[in-house]
Amino acid sequence: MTARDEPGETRPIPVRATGPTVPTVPSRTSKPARRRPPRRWATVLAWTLVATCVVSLGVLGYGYQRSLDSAQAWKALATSTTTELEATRVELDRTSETLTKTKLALDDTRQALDETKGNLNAVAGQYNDASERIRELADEKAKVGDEAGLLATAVAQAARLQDQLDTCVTGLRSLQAYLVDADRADPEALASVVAEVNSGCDEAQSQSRDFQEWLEGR
Amino acid sequence: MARSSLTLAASGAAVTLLFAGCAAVLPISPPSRTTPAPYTVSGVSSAPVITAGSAATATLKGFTAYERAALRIRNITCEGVEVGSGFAVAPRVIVTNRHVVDGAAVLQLQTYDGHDRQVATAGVATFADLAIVRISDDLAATLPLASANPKPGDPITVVGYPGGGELTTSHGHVLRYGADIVGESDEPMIINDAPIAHGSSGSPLVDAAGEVVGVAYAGKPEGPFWAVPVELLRQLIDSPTELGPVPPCG
Repeated sequence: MTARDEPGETRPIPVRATGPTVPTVPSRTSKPARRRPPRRWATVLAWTLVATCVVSLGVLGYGYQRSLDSAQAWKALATSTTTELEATRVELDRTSETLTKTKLALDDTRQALDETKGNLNAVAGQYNDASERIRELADEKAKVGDEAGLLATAVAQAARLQDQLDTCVTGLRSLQAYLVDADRADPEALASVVAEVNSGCDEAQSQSRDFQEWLEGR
Repeated sequence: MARSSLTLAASGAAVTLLFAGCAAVLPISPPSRTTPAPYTVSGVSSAPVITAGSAATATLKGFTAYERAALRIRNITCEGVEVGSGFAVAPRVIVTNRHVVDGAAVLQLQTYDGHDRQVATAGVATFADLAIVRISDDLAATLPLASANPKPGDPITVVGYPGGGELTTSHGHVLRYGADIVGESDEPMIINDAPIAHGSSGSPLVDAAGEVVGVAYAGKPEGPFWAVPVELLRQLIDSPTELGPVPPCG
């Protein structure tokens, strides 16, 4: 048996001889035989390696499990994405078809719009022509009205002139009557009548000339 | 022997640790979803181009609001026929110049489209060359009066019957204010460069807002031209007592 006294060193425990003594086997050396003590650092290293392996295996196992889960999640994501993409593509195809129809309808509408625009231009042209014609007709009517107004004025002036000429003729007739029996007439009164009649007739003649010139000027 | 065992053990541990490290950097979870690239729509060759207002290419040359409110006034006097202009400020109220209606035996009004309107009454102002004619039937278009006189530089539009001809629109600006060229009023008058002629008397001066700012009444053949300011017109409209009878014919 051995007993620990010092680290890394053992020595035999003295045994009291109670019986016949057995000669000890001589060692190869002259020194007494001593067992080499096992190294403690090897033990510690072994345990450390074991612990490390156990921990690593645990981590690997955890990682493996996580990888399985991740793969499952990726697969699910890929499946759902594929489904969504397919649905989106179908929807886009529908939209494309709708857009195509809309474009055709828009082309039709544009064509109709062009036709309407042409019609509008034609109507606008007719409207402009009609407006211009109304403008011209209003002017023509105004001119006719002006002429009618002038004629009315001329008629009124002619009527006034007619009155003056009638007065002149009446005066001349009266003067003629006086002159037939001039011996019995008062010479001063006769001269006054002559002057009055002449004045009226001169005025009528003057008015007549003015009126004639006015008519010729028109 | 012990050294080789130790080396082997260390290598095993290192490999184990390496695997364990790799396990830590594995793509554990899928990445977050991102918006897919825009899908290219086929079947539509080109996007239609719609130009705003492309349909409004037709130009209408009808009668403006100013023209619709304008009237041609024929004054048949004892000596002949005079032609002037006027405009409606109310459905039955026409504004023109005093000298347009002076000596009238008969007054005849004609609208922009040639319709005749029967005159009910007429009166003239004493303080400016203005007259008010009332008619028996309503007119469709009228012109609002501005609340204040125009300022020099303001653009104006004049609508009337120069020379007794077709309804005509001319444009110009207010130049300044000056004395009455005829000398019959003590009030300052608008002097402007919007061309008018004999027959334009009584035409409205309309500003950029479409409101009457004056009434044309005189001018030199080459310009400038004179107009009664709207404030005097307002004074006449607000005070009917300022109106007197039309001087008779002859």
